[in-house]
Amino acid sequence: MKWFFRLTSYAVLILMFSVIVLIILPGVRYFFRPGFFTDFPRASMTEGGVFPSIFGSLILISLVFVIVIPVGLLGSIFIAEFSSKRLSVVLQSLAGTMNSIPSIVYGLFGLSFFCVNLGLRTSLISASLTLSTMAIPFFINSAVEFLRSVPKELREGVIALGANRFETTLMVIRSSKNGLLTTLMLTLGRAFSETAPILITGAVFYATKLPSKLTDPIMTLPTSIYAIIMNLGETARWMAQGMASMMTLVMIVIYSIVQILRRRTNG
Amino acid sequence: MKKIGETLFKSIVFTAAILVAAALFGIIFFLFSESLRAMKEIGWDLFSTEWFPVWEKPDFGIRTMLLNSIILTLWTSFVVFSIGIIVALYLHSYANKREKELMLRVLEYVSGIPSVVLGFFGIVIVAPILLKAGAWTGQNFFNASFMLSVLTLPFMISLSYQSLEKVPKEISEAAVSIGARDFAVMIVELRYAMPGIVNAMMSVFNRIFGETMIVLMVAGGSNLLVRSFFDPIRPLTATLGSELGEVEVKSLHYSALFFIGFLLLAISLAITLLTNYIVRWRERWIRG
Repeated sequence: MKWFFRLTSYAVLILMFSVIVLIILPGVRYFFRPGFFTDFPRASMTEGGVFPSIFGSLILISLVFVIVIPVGLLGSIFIAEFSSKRLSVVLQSLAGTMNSIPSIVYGLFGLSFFCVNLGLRTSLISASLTLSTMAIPFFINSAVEFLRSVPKELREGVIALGANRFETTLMVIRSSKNGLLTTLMLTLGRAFSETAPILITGAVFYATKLPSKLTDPIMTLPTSIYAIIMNLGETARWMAQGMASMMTLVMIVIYSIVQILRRRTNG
Repeated sequence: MKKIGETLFKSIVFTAAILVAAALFGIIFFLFSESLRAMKEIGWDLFSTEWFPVWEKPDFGIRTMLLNSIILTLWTSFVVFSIGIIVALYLHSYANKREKELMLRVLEYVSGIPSVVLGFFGIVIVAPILLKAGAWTGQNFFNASFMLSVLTLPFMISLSYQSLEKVPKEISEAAVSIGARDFAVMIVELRYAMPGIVNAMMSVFNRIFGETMIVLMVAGGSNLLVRSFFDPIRPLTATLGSELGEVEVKSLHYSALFFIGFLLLAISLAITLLTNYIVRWRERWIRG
């Protein structure tokens, strides 16, 4: 019995490990091609670099953060600190439910609401609003747990010193700093790797210039990988390979930071 | 003055929380209202077998895609559930500290790989191997199922492992003290950890059913009912992913695609509600 369990586990471990290695290693050498990080793609994506995709991903994520951090933080503060027990249970299970909705459904919502009904079209702003709709419940779900784990005595102590509601909340945020940073990193990872909603609401396969205003469409890393693999032949594949290993490396960095933060929270 | 500031602050945080609830109802509302046209004009023919959206006399039947989606999800979930629980049990009952740490770390990294990159992996590495092994196309049911397992196994393992770790020591010790061997102890622990494991199963099932990029890239894309492991298939989400970019806004095709989205949403909400119900019921049953 034990041997069977061990064999299965090792097989899974080896499989997972080789998936990571086989994704990262073949792509790393393209990082050293001149201009990989700084050039526009040329000759139908067989030469040049992936700069516009990196730029698009970065700007998209910054916009998502600008929306998600205030709304998510305030929302989780309300659930953890202000709402009645009953309302907080309802809101939390709503956030949990929204977390299990497939991402393509968010894409459809964004297409109908932001792109068509609000007239924002396929654009940077539609994509970031769609991604934010998806990331906010994710953020709240995890942030509430960290805010709740601040001990009651600490709260009462601050109140006894004469702090008002706002100051008490600030103290709670400060003392759950590591947890909130963990949440932020996980949200970042989620927003960075999500593909389907951006594909529908904001991405184009190829743009000759960088987006200059919010209503311009963008290129992003995940959608470019998809587009290259599905539409272009073997000669362009190296570019997708490079982007795939770059994305995976970034995710590994994000998760390493999460692990460090988690160790610090647990002492 | 202090009072006003507090009320203001309270109302701001309240608005932020209400936004979440509003978003859920917004999603349901928009998907439903966009799919109304298809429901009215096509009616029950939406569940016929043929999907030819841009022909002169278009057909909007989703039955084949729906069945393919369900078969793919059931089979992959079955594989992921069984392997996931075995590995979680190994980590919980046999593994030493080093093994645990290594395994959990590797799994966490894999769970961070974006799904589009896994789709890329399926095309570039798995598909050629399948071709060499004699399949007539590299992008098929097996490939999709395999990549979906790689995507969801980390969740399944770490979530079930966590709920196994939460089983109180007294329970396992009580089982040992009345003469239970390894296997029987595991059964006892599994029963106690069931609510957590059911929850893990639910998220895995939902994830597989709703995953778009992987099936879009590696499932093959032919709208035929799957008959063998190496048949190319097209699940519901793949159709959404590939056709939404080119569809004419507000056309019948657009509305039919939204109907598919609405169906996905309804199924995922139903599974979530059902699981919450089961988990609560089991918890009551365990705690007495």
